[in-house]
Amino acid sequence: MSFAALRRWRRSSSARFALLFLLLFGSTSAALFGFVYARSIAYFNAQTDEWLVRETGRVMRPDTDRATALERVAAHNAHDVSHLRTFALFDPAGRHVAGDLLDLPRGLATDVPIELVATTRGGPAPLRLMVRRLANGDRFVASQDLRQTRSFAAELVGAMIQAGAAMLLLGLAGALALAAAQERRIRRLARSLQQIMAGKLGARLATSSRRDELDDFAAEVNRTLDELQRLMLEVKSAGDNIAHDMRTPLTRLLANLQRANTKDAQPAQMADSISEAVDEVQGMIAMFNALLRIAEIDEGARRTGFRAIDLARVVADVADFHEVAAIERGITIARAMPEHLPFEGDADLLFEAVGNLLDNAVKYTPDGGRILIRLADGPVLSVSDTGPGIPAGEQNRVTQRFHRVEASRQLPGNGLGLALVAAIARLHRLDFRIGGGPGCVATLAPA
Amino acid sequence: MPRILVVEDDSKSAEAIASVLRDEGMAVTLSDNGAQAFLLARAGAFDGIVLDRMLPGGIDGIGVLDMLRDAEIMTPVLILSALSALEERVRGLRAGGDDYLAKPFEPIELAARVTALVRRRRNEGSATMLDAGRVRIDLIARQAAVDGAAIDLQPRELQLLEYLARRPDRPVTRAMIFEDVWGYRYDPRTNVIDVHITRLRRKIERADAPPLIETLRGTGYVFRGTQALAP
Repeated sequence: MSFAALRRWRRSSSARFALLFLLLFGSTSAALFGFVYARSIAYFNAQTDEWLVRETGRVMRPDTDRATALERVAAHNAHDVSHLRTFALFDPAGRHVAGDLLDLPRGLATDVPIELVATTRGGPAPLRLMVRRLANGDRFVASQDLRQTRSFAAELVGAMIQAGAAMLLLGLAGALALAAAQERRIRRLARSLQQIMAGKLGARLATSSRRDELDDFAAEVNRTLDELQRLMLEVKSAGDNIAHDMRTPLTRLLANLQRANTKDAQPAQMADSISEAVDEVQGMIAMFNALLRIAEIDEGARRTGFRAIDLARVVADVADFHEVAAIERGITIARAMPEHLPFEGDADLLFEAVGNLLDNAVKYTPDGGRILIRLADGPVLSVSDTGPGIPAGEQNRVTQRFHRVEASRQLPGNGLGLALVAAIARLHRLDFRIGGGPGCVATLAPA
Repeated sequence: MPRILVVEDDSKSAEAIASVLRDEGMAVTLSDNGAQAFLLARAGAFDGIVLDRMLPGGIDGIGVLDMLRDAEIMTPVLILSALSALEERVRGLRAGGDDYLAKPFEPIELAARVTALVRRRRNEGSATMLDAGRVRIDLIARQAAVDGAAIDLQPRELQLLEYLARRPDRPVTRAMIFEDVWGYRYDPRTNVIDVHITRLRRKIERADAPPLIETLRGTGYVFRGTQALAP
């Protein structure tokens, strides 16, 4: 593992978590092992002490004489083939009289368990013993050889250390593997993001079937990317469309101006050319104004213009305003709406939105056709017509800036009308949908 | 000759505005900052002021307007602004502005609005009868007569005719008509107003007389009916 990799590990949060967990688990286990060890030793000692007290108290009364004592020591030791629990007797001068224990340090406390290393017939050994002074000055000793207990304890500690080491190694390996897996996933995510930054806008973060928090995060990022891509595409296509839609009027404008600029241009011709040029510029200004208005409305700046208005009044005004144009072409405009409908909004903008819908309906409905305006509580407003309608595949796209149904490209308009309606609807927290077939049904309803 | 003060810091725009207004037969004085504009407006008797909302230095358009109204100078003011947000418009009108025009605007629109602004004070009195030469409107009975003959008009048609007849020989744009007659404020980019005018014309015009309403190509309309027909 390289130095850089090590440094990365140190910064890796998953590695840190894994190690922290390992440390926590390790120390808990160590505490548990320590507790088990201490309790085992205490248990052994308690067993030994019980025996020591019993033997020194019951077997060897203080008034026992030396002969009886010798007899008892010999009898016990003869029984104790394993030489683990033996008796011994020392004279008042501390010299060995009988038993396995050969040497007894002077000045030992009596009637309490003592641990020491002393010389026995089998060599020096760790013992737990109790001394009892007899009436004749002799000292009787009952002792437990601790070598077996000690080796058990050593065995126990060894096992614990091995298990601990194994756990540590496994845990460490696990932590590193976990961190490495996480690191790999994050690197993959980072690589995807780099690709997106490098311009591959369609790329998305990979998600696994685990549906863990990293997947949730990646899904969230993906949603954000979708939205960004949608906006970027919209901006790009709006930009493309501006360029595209400007080319024609600019070309015509240039032609008109050049025609007017020629030396032998007649005054009447010149006036015509200039007047046409003015038309082109007006069209372009109208387009930019519409774009700016959509942006302005989308920023929500106009919400300050909200007042309590009568939506039914506004819609009726729109209908009245457009009706004359419809009548000219034999189109009837039917209305199904209440007398009044109070609403909080911007009357100018709502007039414009409904006006655009109605203007479109009149524009696309054949002579002699029928348009129906419905308004109901909600508010729900719909404008339906008996025109050709909008193909199902285009119904969502017509509300985007500049989108025009291909078949209608030759009709006047800048492809911003429905986008403006959509923006005004959004400002009023209404949903704008185009549906229908046959004919076209435009609906504004609470989102 | 109406005297107009144009307050605009961009010299090219100022010159363009001035030439449009001069073409309309107005005398134009230019100013490029708020303080000077206030002093000029206070000193000179202007008939109207075209005031840019954004001005360099400490005093912007609204500031100039505030100072003028505080000094009780009630010269009509048209505010020009690149900000078309309703809030801006409301602020401008609330501060004492008389009209509001968002940039980019068409010169003809500006000219029509300034003309309307300058003449507004004289015209709209509380008379019960509007006499515009060939057209007479009884404002109480809501009845119009052309060349002496009563004409049956829808309420909206009557309003439209009244609006035009009150502004004889002055160009009015579609947006101005829409704003005043229908009462909503935005520029309807449709030919619907033309249809309304056409219908009105059909009712009030005669084949044997000159037209009462003239179309200004790409702009709007002008009412020509001040001269009664020779008997």
